[in-house]
Amino acid sequence: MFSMSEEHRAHLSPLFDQSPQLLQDFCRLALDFLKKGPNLKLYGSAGQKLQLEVNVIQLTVEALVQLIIKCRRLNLSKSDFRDLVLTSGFNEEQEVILSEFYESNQEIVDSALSTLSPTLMHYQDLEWRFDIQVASRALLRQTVPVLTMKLTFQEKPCTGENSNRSSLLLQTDPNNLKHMIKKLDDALLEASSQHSRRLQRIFK
Amino acid sequence: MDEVDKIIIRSLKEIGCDIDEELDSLRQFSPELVVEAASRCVEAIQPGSGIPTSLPPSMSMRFRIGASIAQACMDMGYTGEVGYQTFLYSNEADLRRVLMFLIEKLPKEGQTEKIVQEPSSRAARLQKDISATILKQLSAPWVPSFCKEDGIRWHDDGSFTVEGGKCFNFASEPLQTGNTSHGCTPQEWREYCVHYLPLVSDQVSAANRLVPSLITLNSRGILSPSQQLSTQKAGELRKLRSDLLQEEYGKFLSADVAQKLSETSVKLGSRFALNERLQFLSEKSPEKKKQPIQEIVPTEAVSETSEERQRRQEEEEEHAVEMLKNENEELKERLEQLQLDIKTLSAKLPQVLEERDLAERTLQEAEVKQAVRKKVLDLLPDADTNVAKLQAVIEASTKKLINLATQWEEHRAPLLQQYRNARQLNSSKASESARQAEALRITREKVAELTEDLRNKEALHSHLQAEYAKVSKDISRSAYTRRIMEIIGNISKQKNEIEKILKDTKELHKEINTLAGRLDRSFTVADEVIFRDAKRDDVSRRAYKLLATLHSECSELVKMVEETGACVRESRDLEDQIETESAKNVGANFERISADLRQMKQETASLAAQLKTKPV
Amino acid sequence: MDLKLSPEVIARLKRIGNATLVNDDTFSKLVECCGSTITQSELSSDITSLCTGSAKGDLLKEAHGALLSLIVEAVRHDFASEPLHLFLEKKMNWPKARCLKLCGEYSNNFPKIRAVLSSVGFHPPHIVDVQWHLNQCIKSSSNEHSSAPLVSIQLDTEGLEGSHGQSSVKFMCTLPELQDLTSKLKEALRQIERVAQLNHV
Repeated sequence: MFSMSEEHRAHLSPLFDQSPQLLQDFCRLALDFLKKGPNLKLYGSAGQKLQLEVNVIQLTVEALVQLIIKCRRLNLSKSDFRDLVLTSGFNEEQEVILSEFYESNQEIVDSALSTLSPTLMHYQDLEWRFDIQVASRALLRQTVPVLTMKLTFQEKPCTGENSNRSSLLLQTDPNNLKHMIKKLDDALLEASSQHSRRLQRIFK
Repeated sequence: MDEVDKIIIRSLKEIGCDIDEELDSLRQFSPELVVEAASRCVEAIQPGSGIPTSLPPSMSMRFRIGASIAQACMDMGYTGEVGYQTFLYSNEADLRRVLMFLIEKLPKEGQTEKIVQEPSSRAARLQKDISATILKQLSAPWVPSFCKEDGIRWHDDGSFTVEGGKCFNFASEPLQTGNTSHGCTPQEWREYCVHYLPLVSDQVSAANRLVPSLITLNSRGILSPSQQLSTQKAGELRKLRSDLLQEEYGKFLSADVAQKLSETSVKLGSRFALNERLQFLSEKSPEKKKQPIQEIVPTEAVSETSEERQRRQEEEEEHAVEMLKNENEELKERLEQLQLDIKTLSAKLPQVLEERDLAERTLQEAEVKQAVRKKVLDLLPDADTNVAKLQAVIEASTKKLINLATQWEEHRAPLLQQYRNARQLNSSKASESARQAEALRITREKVAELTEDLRNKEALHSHLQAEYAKVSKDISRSAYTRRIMEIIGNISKQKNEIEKILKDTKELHKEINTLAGRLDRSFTVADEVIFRDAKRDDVSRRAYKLLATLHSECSELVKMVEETGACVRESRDLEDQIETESAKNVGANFERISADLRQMKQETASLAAQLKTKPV
Repeated sequence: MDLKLSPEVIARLKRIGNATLVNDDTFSKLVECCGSTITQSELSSDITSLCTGSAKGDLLKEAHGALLSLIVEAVRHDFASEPLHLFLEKKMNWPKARCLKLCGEYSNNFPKIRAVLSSVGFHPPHIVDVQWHLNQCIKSSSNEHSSAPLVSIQLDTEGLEGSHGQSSVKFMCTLPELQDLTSKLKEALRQIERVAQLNHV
């Protein structure tokens, strides 16, 4: 449970005495913000309708987005969210709309949040090919078995649609391949062991 | 079962078990023989298992051997029950099962032969190399990379496999091996080579570039052997260009001229020498001039007191220089003069030569004319006699000519004839020799054909022989198949008989059933009839009673008969069981086990005693 | 396959066979030094001193270069010691003792020189080891719910000269993805084993 700062409350305050219809419009604006970022043109037209300044509209929308994100980050339950909204100054009718908005858009919030976490190279695919090198410029007769691998990575969590893919060419020999498989198998075994399963249960 | 035992014993003999000829059943196998057979089988399937083939006297060792053989069997995938008791206290059926399993696992001879065959073609050898390398790598234990030198793993047989490691680009650098002289004189070049040229291995900037550089050098040498020649030419050209004077003289110095006009050539030669000297002088003189000046600068700075002397010295030197300069100028002038002379003279030379040739030719012509004229003049005084003499000489010579001609004809005719004959003979001989050559050629071809044929046939022969050798070992196979066919025939015959008996039994059953049904029906009819009468008649009542007792007695009798049958069947089952149990000869085995146990206890006791007697 | 040498090298090799030009002692020193020069095992100081001290320095240097070329080319063509012996005796007219000496040195150093030659070339980074650790993401700056375990994998590689020996590739994967990776590698290993068996039988 977090307590809302005074500033945050002040930014939300224009919503307290709006009709449910208008609150839903604001929710739509907030959703739009989450998906595409701020859109000043839309805020301008909304400001004209409500006879409010553009920056007030913007602050309000941002405050709404902040509320949703913060609650989602803390994984607030429905009842907690309801308590928070009611204590911060919204009436019950508005609370229903906000709760509905909070519940139905969790996925969008999650994806917006994940763009913020540090990106890492993430395994995507492996292609392999088994070659035998039979000659090279310096040694005309040889037999060197080589497994050439193309590892494809993706930056994850992916930022938007342009998933950042990269690939890497690696190779290894049968002996090291065997060792690799053994070690990775160890990792898999460890992941499904009693100990790590218990840990997973604890942190669920 | 006898057949199976025979096959097993045959196979065991093939892998080297020492089995008595008289033995023909597994029942007669002693524990020692069983262990030997099993361990030999295991050894043949997995060479190097190291299980001894004979039983040691110690009981505990025996158990260990039995257990290890059993373990080996299980490792090979034997699913039945197996343990040390299978071998040490053998039960015929279990033993048979185990041995059959082992013999089936024995490597076939065909497989071993295939491995022995050496592949000969390039592709086959490559394939063999590949599989050998992969197997070597797969069977070797993993080793961290820092334990390998440059990612190369050395195997016990001296070969290596590449497992990672750095690789160096094929970067080559030009190497100086001492064949190109770069426009210096051979002496200078040789001097350089002897004292200053670094070793090839020291010329590269990094050690790993040596090998690529050597390869490049060699392949370049192979590709353009003319290259070194051209570089020599280029060197010569450069030399010529650098030596301008020599080139200028090269124009004048034609070898022909030098030979014919020896005088001029001598002059030219002397001039050439002079010129060289001059050139040397003119080259040296600026250095000479420089040196004193350089010497002067420090002396001036150091000793101001002896200025006078120095100035005198300077003047002297300047004078000397002036003199030398003058001399130089003079010599130069002379040189120019001489050069001019040479030019004019050499321009005149061809003209002079031509003139001389012309004069010589006219002289020769005149000499010939003069000789003829002289002879004629000699003969002129005594003309008539001389004419007659000459005519006589002419006549004599014509006669002689005619004579010679006839003589020639005489000789020519037979020789011509002889020649013709010889030619004819020759041609006939030639045709004959051609014919013979043709015949020879045909014969040779035939011989070649026949040898080819022979080779093919020999190859076929050896191939067939090899096949024959392979086949001949499988004589037992046909015997087996024949026996198997016989057994199958027997089995089918037995099956027919069994079916016949079954049919008989079924018919008998049916008959019994029908009879029983009829009996029932007749009994009920009789029962009804007599019962109806029994109400009225006393005799009938008795008869009815008798009938009832008769019926019950009879049914009891039937039951008894059935029970007897069941008992007989049961006793037969029991007898079978007894037989199988007695086949296991539990009693004997038990006695043996208890004897072994006793022995083992004794051994343990003796060991314990030893332990005790040995003071710690 | 025949040994292909440039005319220059052949001429020099023929000269080496001549005992008046190169005496036996120098010859054996030369031959011993050549093997170690290529394998980079030790410094060839004795030959340098030999060259600078002698009036035949140029000849020795030439001989040294030619012998190096010969050995490198012979190993490159996978020449065994017997054909090399034949080549030297028949084509270069070397005395038998010198052929034997060189071939002995050659066959001693053959595998090492082969190893040196095999390292000339290029290949993608070669995986030599794997490290992994299993992570359970509990909290992050942006999201406070726990998610599925992640495995981070580091592939240690050895590669080109430029990348100074060891380097590594790091990446993350989820357990199913690790399963996928491992199964693909296992399939590769199976295929390799099959290739080996196929060729063997």
